Amino acid sequence: MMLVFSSMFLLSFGFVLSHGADGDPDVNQKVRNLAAIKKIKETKDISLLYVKGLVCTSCALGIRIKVGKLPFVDSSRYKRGVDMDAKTQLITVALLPGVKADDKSLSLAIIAAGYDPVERYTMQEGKLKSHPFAKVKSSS
Amino acid sequence: MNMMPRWDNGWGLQLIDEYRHESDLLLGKSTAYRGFTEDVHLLHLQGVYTWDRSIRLTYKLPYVLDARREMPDNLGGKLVEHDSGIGDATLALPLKKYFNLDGRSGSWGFKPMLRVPLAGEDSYKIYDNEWGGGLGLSYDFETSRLAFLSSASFWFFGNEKPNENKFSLDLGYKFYPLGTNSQILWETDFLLKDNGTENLLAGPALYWNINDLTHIRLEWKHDFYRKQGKLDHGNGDRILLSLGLVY
Repeated sequence: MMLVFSSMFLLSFGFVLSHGADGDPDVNQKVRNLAAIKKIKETKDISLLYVKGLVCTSCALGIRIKVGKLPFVDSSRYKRGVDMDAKTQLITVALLPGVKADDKSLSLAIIAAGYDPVERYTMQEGKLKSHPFAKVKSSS
Repeated sequence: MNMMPRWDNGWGLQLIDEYRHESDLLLGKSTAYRGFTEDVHLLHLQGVYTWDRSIRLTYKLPYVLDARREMPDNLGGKLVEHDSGIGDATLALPLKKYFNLDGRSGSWGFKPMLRVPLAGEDSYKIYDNEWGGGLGLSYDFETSRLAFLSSASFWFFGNEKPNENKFSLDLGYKFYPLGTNSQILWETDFLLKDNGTENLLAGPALYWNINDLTHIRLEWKHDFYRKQGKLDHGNGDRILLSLGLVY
């Protein structure tokens, strides 16, 4: 019995190691950039962010709760003003018309939700430009 | 809890309906009394509060709706015994260290636990009405398609109840019907007790996030191997249906 159980553990650790690379093989920065360009071109009044660890939109409900309360967010759009894509790890924050997002507030809200914001995207002269968030030490 | 809020000041609540049926009385690996059954119907109320993503408090409170078992009466017949009422509660303080990577997220966990005796006296005991202390360790990760969870827990009891060690491995595949999140899992538990009892249970589970706040879970586990350290029931199945809320 212990042999069976040990084998199961070894198989499982094999599974872990085979998926031990940093990331989903189907998603890379190129895929994320293309999705970001499409989103920015199609949607007005948004802030588009790449959030590390966003692999399950239900688990990331905290992002909706925390970000949806920020004063510049239009919570009437999407769900609580936030749309999330677990595949590309992009979150789209709906902004009130003519209002600019505060990156520091966004960053702190996402950290409080348990995730790590990496960068925000804009289009400048037809090209995608990334704006990295300042590193903030998370509590865990 | 099948889903614990990761965000600061997050709450979760889960109600689980559990039904167990065991077909025979076993001693060691042998069937001592074939056809001596046990049927147990339980409700579990569980809750969690997350201070921040590294610290939580959880509670588990079971309630025995009805438990019935057949034991030998030493005259060649069956003695039927019953139990019902509140069971022993479990309080825990899960501490987690999360990691967020590109396309992958997970955590390492350490969990001190306390068993609080609340069960009453009946003709037999589903819960032993004993204090206990425990430690849990865990490692899990998920991508947008896969989930892996592993855990070990160690329980120490004071009096008659034997100490228990439990090891679990769960593998899940995620899919997204009708814009919602779902996961199908294969779960395996191995239980070892100080009195020589060994039990390997495994089976499928289906987890569905109906919306951001509500999830349901259906789980079936079968006894693939059981060795009883003392005369007790085995060769059975358990089915759990749960409804959970997070906010």
